Amino acid sequence: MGEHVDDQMVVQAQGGDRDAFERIVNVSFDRCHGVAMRLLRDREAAEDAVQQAMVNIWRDLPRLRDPSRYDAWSYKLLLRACYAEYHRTPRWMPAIGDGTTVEPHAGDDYGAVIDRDQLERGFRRLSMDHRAVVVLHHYLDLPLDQVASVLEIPVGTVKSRLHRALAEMRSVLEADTRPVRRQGSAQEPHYTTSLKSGERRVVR
Amino acid sequence: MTPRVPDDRDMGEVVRSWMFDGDEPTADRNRQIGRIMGRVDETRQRRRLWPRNPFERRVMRSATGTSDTAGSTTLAARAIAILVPVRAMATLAVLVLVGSMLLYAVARVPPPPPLAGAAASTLDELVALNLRAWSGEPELLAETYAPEGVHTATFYDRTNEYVGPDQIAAVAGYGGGPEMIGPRIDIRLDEGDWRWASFVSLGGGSACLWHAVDGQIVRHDCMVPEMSYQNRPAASVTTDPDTLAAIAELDARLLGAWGRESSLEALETVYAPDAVHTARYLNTTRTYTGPAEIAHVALLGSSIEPIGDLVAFEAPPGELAWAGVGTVAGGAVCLYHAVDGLVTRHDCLLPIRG
Repeated sequence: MGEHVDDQMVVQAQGGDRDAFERIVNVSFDRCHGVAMRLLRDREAAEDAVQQAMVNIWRDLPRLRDPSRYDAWSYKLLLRACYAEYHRTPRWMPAIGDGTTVEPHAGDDYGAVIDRDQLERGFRRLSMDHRAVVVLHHYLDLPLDQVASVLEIPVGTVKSRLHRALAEMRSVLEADTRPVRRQGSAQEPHYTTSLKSGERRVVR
Repeated sequence: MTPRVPDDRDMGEVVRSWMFDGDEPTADRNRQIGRIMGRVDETRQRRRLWPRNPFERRVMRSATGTSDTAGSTTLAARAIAILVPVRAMATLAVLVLVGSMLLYAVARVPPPPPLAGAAASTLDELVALNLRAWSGEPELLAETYAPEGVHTATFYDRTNEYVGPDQIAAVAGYGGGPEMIGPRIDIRLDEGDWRWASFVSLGGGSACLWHAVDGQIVRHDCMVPEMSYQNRPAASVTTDPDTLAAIAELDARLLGAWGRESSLEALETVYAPDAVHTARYLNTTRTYTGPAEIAHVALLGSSIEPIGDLVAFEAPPGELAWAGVGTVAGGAVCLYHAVDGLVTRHDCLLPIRG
């Protein structure tokens, strides 16, 4: 996933070298922006979060004792900024997309049924805690122990959050692929799936 | 075509693929980086409180380079490996030194004065502490007096009352502090209750009656044989045997004239025709003038038994002044003044309500 920040740049930036930090920002911006964008699902919120995270990184950088741990440390600060932005942004505000439409995948086995909208809807149902696990593991490709380290939670919690997050997204896909029963009645039953128990309930 | 939902195992791959779908560089990334750097220019970096962790062992890369550099690198690595614990020990030594200095400084600080409300454990301790409080250390009054402790000063024409250490502090130290004269006369009370009489040089010889409960003074009533402390010069006790004998003889006659067998005739041989007897209770003062009025109260009760010795004050020629503590009302103190062998003033302080 692109270039990585090297220790030398970090040490220089720790000493107050602005140019070194600008190089760090250049190197890590796309990755940070990608994380924020995937977590927050909103371009403006993601930009604000990244900007705030970078400023916080610069401010606290001299306190980072081990430059080789920069990546994990910077992700912590980025996630913190994303959480803050998530709580700051009104929840009812609809995400404004960039207007592009994406065709369903044709190259994989699930292309016929899974498009971005379905996954998007499933992902939006997740809490920030669950989103963070999914993004760190599946987008940044961090192993579970590193995810646990960044989030400062046990590995077991990471596993359970990841499992639950994927199950929830999967439940959206299942609901969308289920045929709607039409009986000519004004009251059509709508099926939904409870994630905790796995049982299906009929909601009128 | 029947739609197929990925199973749990494949779901991760689907999500991963979706995550990278459309992952293109941000169009205005340079503008955003410019904004970030603009804010960075306005932000000061936070410095470490402690420059470097002294207990940290720096990771040394293995010296597997060329033969001519390998030796020096290994040497440097060893030197640093030795120096790191030395640095840690030096840091510890500095911390111990600073800690010791702080402890020494704390130990040198004089102990704070006892907390307000702390009670004295013995009557001697309380009396000594209270004398200090009245002789230039009024802050100790909060220690010797109960929060609602009362001090009264009864003159011929009035009684001044002060409640609580703060009010008492206003009169404590008057005239440079009281000078105690004569013996302290302790009056036996129940366990935890202390009552005693003491005598002061002010106003020609004043007598005070004290009552302490649980080590703190709750009452401190003083009687001054004049209109004010300043009307008569400071008194002292006398050791003149003739004076002491005259006082003893008159006091014995006076005590004999009181009680169930009292008579006007007997009182007229002790009291001057215009003699004044006052009884100062906690809530009132009663005054009787002349033997006839005094006879009304002299008949009450049983005879009076003295507690402790009499205290004889210095007095002008032809006059006698003394004080004594009697068993009336659980311990009352009386001041006497006589001229030409007849009592002219007989003022008593009784620690009860009238």
